[in-house]
Amino acid sequence: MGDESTGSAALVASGVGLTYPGGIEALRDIGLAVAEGSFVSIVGPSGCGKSTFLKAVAGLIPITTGTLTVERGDSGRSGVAFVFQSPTLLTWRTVLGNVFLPTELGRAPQSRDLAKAGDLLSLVGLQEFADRFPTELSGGMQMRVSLARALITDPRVMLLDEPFGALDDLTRQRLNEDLHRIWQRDRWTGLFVTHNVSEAVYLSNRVLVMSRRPGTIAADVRVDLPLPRTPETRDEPAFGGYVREIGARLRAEA
Amino acid sequence: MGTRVSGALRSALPPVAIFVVFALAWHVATVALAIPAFILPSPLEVANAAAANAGRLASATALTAVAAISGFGASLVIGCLIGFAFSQWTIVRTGCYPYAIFLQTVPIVAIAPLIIIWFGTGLQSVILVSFIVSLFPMITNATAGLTTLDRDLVALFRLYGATRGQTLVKLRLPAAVPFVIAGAKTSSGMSVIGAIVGEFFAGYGAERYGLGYLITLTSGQLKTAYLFSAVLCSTALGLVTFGAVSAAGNAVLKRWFSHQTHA
Repeated sequence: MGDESTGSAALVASGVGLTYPGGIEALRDIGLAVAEGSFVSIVGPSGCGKSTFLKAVAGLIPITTGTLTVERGDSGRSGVAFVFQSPTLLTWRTVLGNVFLPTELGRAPQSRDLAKAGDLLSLVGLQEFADRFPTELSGGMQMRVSLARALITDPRVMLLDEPFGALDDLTRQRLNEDLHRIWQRDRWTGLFVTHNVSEAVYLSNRVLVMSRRPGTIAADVRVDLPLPRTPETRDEPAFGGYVREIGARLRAEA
Repeated sequence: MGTRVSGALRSALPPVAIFVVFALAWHVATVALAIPAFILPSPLEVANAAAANAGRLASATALTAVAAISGFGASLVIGCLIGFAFSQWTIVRTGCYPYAIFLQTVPIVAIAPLIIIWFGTGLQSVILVSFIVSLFPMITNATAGLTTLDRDLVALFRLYGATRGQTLVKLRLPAAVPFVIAGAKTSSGMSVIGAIVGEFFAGYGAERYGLGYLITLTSGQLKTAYLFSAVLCSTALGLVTFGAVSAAGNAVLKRWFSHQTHA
């Protein structure tokens, strides 16, 4: 299931297994190469370990077997950013303050780039909300702030753990369109966990279907829809075809 | 503006109406049943006693307020420091927590006389009693605030390589504020009770006395109407202290934490 033909891999997993200290086996023998600059979605039944895999990639949970490497690329970008299921904003900081938070952390904090944080807020359409507090914003807007925060360190790999799961359909579609536009602009490598098949097809070059626990990769579907995707992409017959195919694979696993 | 005033009036009306009905019933009962004033004075007699002793009541309330606010202030600062120590070093928490519970379970009336023996009568002993009574809720809330954290936020800080100091200053301390406010609300009410109990045992000497002393004095002399007015002043002091701390706390919560509802 390699993707090496399209260029260098940004992320390589080989024989990855993860068993929790309590004895629950969450992941088994995951082998995967994600091409630099591609956008890969992971769908799977609830509790199949897709979020666990993402957290393992981020280094937040240690794997028990295999190897998992985020390759050092030559794009000048480095590091991994993570977008959580909830916006995880600091309520006592302004929107702008939340966006530049990552630049203040670490042993040698980088210079706090206010101009860049402002640009990112414009990118997600929140330039007028820089001085507001997160609790004054809607759920969709809070998620946009969370996206801007992830982008501030110029990550090479973006890990998104079901970021739009709590949003209504319309807001979710709008955010999908914005996320796709940002990915088209920056071409970081995206790994996106979701329950929503149509969202996965819309955003990705490739969709992985995971099996029930212990999670392993059950299907690997290349999505050959033209880029950039537009709202009209959702009306194309090929789009519906992918949604049906992946939906069927997912039901087979659930 | 007009609607806000009428809204405030509408919410104030029911409790005021209940007060009026209650005071009327109380008055009628004392007259109809011919209850002696030293057992249950009528509201009118209480009001008269309050008016006749207004100066004394005001100075006693002010003194008790000074003791209660000092005790509360000490609890706020020292409770947060202890909570911080408990949250940073597990060994300190497991070792000291049982003794912190002692603060909560010891009957204050039993150790107040000891405090007088050790520290003498006077303001310092009253403040100390108020402090002991109001410290525990500050410790438990500050500890809970500093140890209860959103796991994803902790993961976020780890991901960006935040140092322990950065996580403390930028995440743990601010996240603990709603808990500290909740503790301060409880603690502020208890500090007034503590100050009054302290004054039962320790006077300030030389014609200066607080509400606690006034309550023991007037009950001993069967000046029941005067006693009632002192009790009313104690209640009012407790309400004002709690109300001020709540209002300040709610303003902070509304500004920075409005997704969290701490009633």
